[in-house]
Amino acid sequence: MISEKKWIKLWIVMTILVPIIALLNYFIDPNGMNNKVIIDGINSSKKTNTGYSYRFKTNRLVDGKFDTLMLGTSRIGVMDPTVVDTYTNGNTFNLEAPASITEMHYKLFKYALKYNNIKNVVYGIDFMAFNGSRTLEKTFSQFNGLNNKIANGEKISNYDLYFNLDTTKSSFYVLYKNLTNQKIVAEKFLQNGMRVFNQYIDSLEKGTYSYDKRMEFTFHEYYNNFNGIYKNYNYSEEYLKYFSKIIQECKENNIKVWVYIPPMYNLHFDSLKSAGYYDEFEKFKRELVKITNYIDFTGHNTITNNSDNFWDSAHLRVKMTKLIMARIFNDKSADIPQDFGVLVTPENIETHLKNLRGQVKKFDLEKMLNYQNAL
Amino acid sequence: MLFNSYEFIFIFLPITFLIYFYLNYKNFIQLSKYFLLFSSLFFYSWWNIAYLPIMLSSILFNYIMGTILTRENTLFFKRRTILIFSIVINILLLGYFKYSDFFLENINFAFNTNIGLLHLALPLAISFFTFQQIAYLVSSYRQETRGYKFIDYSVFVTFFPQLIAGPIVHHKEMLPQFEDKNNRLLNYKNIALGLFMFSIGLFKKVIIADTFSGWATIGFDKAEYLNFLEAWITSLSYTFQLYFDFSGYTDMAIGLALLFNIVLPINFNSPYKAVSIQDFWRRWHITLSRFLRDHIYIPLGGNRDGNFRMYTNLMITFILGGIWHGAGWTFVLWGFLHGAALVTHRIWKQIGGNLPTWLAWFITFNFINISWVFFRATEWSSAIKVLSGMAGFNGLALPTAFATKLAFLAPYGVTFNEWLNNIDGKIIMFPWILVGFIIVLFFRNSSEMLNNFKLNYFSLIWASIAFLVSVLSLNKVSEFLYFNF
Repeated sequence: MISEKKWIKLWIVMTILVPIIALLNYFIDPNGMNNKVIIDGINSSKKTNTGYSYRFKTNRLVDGKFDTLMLGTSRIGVMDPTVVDTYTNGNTFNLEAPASITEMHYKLFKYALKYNNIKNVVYGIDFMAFNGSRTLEKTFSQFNGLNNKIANGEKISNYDLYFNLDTTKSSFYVLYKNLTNQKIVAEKFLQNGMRVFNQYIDSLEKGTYSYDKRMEFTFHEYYNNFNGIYKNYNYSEEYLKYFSKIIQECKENNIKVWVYIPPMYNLHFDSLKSAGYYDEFEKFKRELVKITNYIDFTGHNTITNNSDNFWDSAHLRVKMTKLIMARIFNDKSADIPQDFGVLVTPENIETHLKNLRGQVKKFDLEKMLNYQNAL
Repeated sequence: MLFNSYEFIFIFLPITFLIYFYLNYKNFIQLSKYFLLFSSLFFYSWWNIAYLPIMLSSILFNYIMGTILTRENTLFFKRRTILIFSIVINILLLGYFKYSDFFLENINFAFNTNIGLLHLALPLAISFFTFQQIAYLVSSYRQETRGYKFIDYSVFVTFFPQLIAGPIVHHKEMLPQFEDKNNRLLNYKNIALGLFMFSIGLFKKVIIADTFSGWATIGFDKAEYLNFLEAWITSLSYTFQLYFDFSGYTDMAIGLALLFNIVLPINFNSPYKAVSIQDFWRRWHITLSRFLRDHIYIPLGGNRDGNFRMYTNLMITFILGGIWHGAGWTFVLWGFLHGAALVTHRIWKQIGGNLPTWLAWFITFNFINISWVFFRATEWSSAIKVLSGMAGFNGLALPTAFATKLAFLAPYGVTFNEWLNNIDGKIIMFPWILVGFIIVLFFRNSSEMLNNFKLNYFSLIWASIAFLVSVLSLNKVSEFLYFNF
């Protein structure tokens, strides 16, 4: 038995551990959310910050340092903003939202506008972003949790991340790895918002990278029966309105906007037909051109036929940023394959779609989706 | 403000506690009451200050009516008329905010009309403070509330530990405690007990209920695809979520009240140990059962007018109890099922029926688990889909590892892949459900822990770790289920 006063005092002493742990988490900053204190051998090598995409990106935006935005899904996320800088003479932020829908693009775009004097937008728009079966409430819990704050343009605090058991575990992990001189290899967002696949780069250097396995894994992410990105694809007019609003607001605010459909590896393109989504894929393009012209990089072409240009079936390697941006910004000095990227307008849309339909090859999606192989 | 939020735990609670006892220490008794009232109103307004005038109007109205009802002679109207008028106003207020759209939807459906819905936001805690005040009015009518001051009454209704989701307290058990001079001083035993209970409640909510919550949500979202195992995991997850969520909230409320030397009534007594439906309702949401018994079942006649009348009264009481939880036919059905189960149980007892304890528990638990499906489902069809899965109509899927050994089951429709895919299934669900059963069936419940509380290092470490782990797991602040009711 101990006295009542002693019990209470000891309980309070124990609970003081909470702010101490929070402070430790703040300084170690295992996911690189604040980068306030970086000490070699303590916390210079960190875990990924991509688990907190929206916090990280909105935190960067509130500094008001950017005049150019790259908008879209992770396919634009892997593109290098510094390449865009060379064309816009500005400071570009990659506001990629992974696997997102246009509603999220619109809200993030408005958020960026609130804090930054945006003059240019490069918008990589994806077919997946119009799947009405995927909603903020059911599919994007992380964004949904911050939805009101993002929609209201509020600054997002990270203090709750420091009062967190997972962060605490990560802090000890980071501390251990740094103290024992072991480098943590993890996917990361740079300060300009670009997504870097450090783990792929590392395994490529070690010779252990398998494109086929990554590709199979990606196909599973897109088509699996549980939460595949294309599952129950249902083209959403509502999501088109968000896209349209972004273009409209760019016009109203004298923001230059470049729109493109990112390239996908040729098998990914073929798989849309196998999955029965090709009509909707064409509808997506037809509806898009009613709002704005765009460059379409999909289909079979010199770049998409070469797996060395991709990390998986959906994501280009960063070196391809130059080619993409050269085509988008119509850089005559660049050596771009002729078949890579077609400017789509209301006048040529049908010819273009007919041409692409002719490129589609038969693809055994079921075989690819054998999850055992992907693992 | 949620109990399981940083602002409540680290700012609101310590400040309120320290100022309240400082004022009492300085003998500013009245001021301390006003401060407690202000704190509770601040706590309530944190969600949406627009709700505050509704609650304050309700408090003022009921206090005035209660005061009139305590008088021997009233002008113009009989006391009984005033009581009925007051209760009707309370029910109309609750009905307007809670049931308008439900009523209009049914009118539109029945008469093929197209009356626009009101889409009113439900003022927080309205179901709770309305019931609490109806009980007060009835007591006033019985001349049991004479002499309460408005400030005392307001503190009784708004006292923040019990304001949002109960327990539904009675003025007889609350107001004397606020009046007791001894309760105005720091009581270290109560503080220790309060911290202990709050820590346990927080752990139940944050660590246990919120874990089950994720699985229940995903299962009900995918209701149409659930196979046998997925459907059972979904329903059991909700059954455990509801218990740990609500009883966790109640534990926190009891603990918080103890910090202020106020003892709240217990609300749960290991309900899933119940061996009959009657037993269940003596253990689950005890203060609601008490209210329904005293203010609906007994006034209807209770069991005084023969069996048929008693069965009718039970059915009415439980259907009303069902609809109190929410404006929807699934809640009505849930209440109906429980009423019917109680009637069946009464008949069974009258004919001398008896079952082995394990079988009685098994039937009771399964009935409760199945009836929660109606309680949780947003639509009738969704409930039926989950129940179809539980009945095996959507087949059974097992891990691929069993494909060879149990191949003989394949002709019966058993498959061996993607066995928990619809609920993003992980093997960890099974031990969690097992732990859930062990806790609800074999562990002491919180009130038993409170009664057996010992000031030793074991209770200290247990409470501290529960608090520490819970606070460090608060990053996904989630609301309590019973806030919706």
